[in-house]
Amino acid sequence: MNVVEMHGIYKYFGDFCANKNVDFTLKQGEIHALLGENGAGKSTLMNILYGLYGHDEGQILLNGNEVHMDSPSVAIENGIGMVHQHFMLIPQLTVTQNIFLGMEKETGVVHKIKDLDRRVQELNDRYGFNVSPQSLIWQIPVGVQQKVEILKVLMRNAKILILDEPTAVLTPHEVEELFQSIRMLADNGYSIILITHKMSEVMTYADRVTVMRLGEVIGSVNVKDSTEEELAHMMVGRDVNLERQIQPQPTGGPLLEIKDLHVHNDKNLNAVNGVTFTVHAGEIVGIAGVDGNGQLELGEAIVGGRKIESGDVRIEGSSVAKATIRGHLDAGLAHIPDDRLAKGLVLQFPVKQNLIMGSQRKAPFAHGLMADNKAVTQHGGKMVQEFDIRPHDAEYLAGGLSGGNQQKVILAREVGRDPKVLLAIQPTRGLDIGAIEFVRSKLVEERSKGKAVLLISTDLDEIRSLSDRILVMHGGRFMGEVSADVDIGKLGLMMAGKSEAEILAASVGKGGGEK
Amino acid sequence: MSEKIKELGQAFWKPLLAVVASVVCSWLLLTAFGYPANEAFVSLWEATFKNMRVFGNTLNKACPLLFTGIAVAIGNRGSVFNIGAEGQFIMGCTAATWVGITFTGMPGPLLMVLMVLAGALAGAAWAFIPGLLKTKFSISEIITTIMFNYIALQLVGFLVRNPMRDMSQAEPQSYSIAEQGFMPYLIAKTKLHPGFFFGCIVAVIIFVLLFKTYFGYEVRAVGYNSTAAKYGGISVNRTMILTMLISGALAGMGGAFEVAGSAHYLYEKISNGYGYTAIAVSILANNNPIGVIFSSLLFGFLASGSTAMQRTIGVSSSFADIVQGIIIIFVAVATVSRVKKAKKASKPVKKEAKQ
Repeated sequence: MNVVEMHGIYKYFGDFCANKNVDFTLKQGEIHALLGENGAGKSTLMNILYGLYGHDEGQILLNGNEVHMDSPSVAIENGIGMVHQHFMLIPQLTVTQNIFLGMEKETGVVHKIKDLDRRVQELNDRYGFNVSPQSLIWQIPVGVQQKVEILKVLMRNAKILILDEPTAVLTPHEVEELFQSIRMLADNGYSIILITHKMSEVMTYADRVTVMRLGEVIGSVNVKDSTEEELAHMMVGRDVNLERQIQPQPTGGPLLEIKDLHVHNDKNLNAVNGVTFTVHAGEIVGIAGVDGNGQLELGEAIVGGRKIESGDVRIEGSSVAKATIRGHLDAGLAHIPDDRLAKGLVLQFPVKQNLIMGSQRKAPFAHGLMADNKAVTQHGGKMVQEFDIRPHDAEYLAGGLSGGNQQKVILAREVGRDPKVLLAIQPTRGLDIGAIEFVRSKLVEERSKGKAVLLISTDLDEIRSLSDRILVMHGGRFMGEVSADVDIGKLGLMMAGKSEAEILAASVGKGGGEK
Repeated sequence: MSEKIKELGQAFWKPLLAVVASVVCSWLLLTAFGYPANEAFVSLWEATFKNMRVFGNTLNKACPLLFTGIAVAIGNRGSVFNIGAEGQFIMGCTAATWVGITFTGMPGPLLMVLMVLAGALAGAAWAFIPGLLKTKFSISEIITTIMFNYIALQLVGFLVRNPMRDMSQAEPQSYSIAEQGFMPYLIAKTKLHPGFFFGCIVAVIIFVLLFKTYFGYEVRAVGYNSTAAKYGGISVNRTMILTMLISGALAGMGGAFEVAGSAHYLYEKISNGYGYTAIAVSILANNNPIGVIFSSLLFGFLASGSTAMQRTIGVSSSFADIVQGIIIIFVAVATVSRVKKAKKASKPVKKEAKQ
């Protein structure tokens, strides 16, 4: 039975057509992935279904009856619930309080919190959520917070769940747990829409998949009748190489050396607790880990943007631990920051001026105090062509570019400096596949040129497809070093805080038990 | 379109529209209150352009606004919001006066140069402390510069009543500066001193500094996005302090020209709120130093014209303040609508960029 049918949906933003003649059906009890690149129109479509956007043409049928989704409250009344990518929870309140917030009509202003706790517990037990109702949100891990969001929706009697990129911040283990619960919901008659751009999730957990590209539906298929390559092809419109992208190559001398580094976070607590590693010429070292385990602070300390408490950072042998950021740049470091909007670009500047940030005092961009606008323009024009930054106009304001093109501006600037060491932090976050491929190929290119590349990323596929060696970070320490062909289960355990030695001991112990 | 041309374009059409709209509003207001609006505007006009004497007066009135306006403009470009141009201007007046009444034996031109330098130095010093507090301790410069305005004001009040007081005068005021330090009147029968023209040169210099040098690039980068500037290797603190110093020096210089060109002595109300009006002057000019030349002229025109209006048809000179207020509101509206347009435009832009 089709619980949702959307027919011929059109949605325009100004002249821009975000959804073009989209048909979408959701069957009862299925996990239906909505797959597509950023900007393919998945979120738009789901926001239409959830009543956040009106649509310009087309109709929506719920259980065969036409419904006008004028607002989210209509959607909620009709049993549709949406879990957004960014959690909407109040950290200081308990799980129960968060779940019932906004349901005062039902619970009454005066109510026994214990009754509500019990209701949460019941739902919990039924679907194996394992969330303690009295826990405060700020005290529970992100994976559990995600479940609270789902409970919130279930408590409002939703039968159709829309999950927007639910695994973006979860560890592999948490992802596994989450989907166990989601599967149990589906088995109990709930219908689930999963918005995602992660191919592996679709293949492992979904029943059906609808692929969108540039606002149109390319097709809906059963997952078991399809392959990863086929879906990727549908998504991008051409063949995509998701395989490992690097060939072994000999490495050179050490270009970046980190020795017993200690760094604090913004709250002045230990974030990096004594890490030591080296990146050699011609290799990519990946640092894997769940968000918030000190990788970001490590990266900021390496570029000089965060104070080093103790330890040393050396670029090509000379210490930069006490140097300014300019000192780091001059020593041969290039840096792709984790947040391109906040740290990477001046959005109000044209592309050409962003392309010289960091080199603005050097020839040919400056002669003495005077800036050379001609040189800046020339350089901009060249880089825009070379890195295919669109539109091909260096006068364009950086703020008007798409995310992928903004990242290309940063990449062009940093690589264009001809650095010794390239530090890339989350270089492909939020980009579409085309841009991701481009960024990754550039990182590999730098490796081939004999640069030392340090890649800090929470995207395991990225780490595994690009790295020569992988360091796994947890709680500000390295859990161990593994090669790129490491078993994902082992990697997951290490990301969750088990050291290599512990994992080894555990498997030996298990082996002993079997005897 | 290059950023520079765009900057210039914005500096012109927006204020022009605001001024036209405010003239219409003022005309309606005057009529509503039963004043002969046409006559009022004629007297406003005549007070500025009737003859060279009144025109010189307007330029003199615009001079302090020009200097303090540029001071605020460069601060705003670098996101150090200098509300303290008032205090820096007053300190500039004070330092210049002190030089003028101390080095009485010095030849005129040298004395004038020394007065202007002293004014600039005093203004810079007065801006330095808030700049330091902002960069070292993250104390908002908006608060500290306002506080420093009051300190400057009270300091002058003390000086003109006690150590610097000229006892031969009934009102508390300082001794007059040495006569050879009076700036010359450029046109006979007018009191037009060269301050405004020096101000125009300074405006061009600051424009070049902001838009044609790497230092200006750094100031604007810090102003737009200090985090990105920091990761681009720019020393944000150093840039902010330098911006503050330049801003203070400009305001202080304005004070020196006011003393050497117009007032010739120090008194408590020498500033007349120039440093505050300067904020409006700068905003009207979209924080463009060249634009400040025109907006300071407009505000100088309103200031000199409003007195005439009061004289001829009895409209209170506060009416000029109302007109200024209306202009600012229209400028603010124009700014908001520009932001909204940019947001709307961003969607097709994205589409275009992705193809």
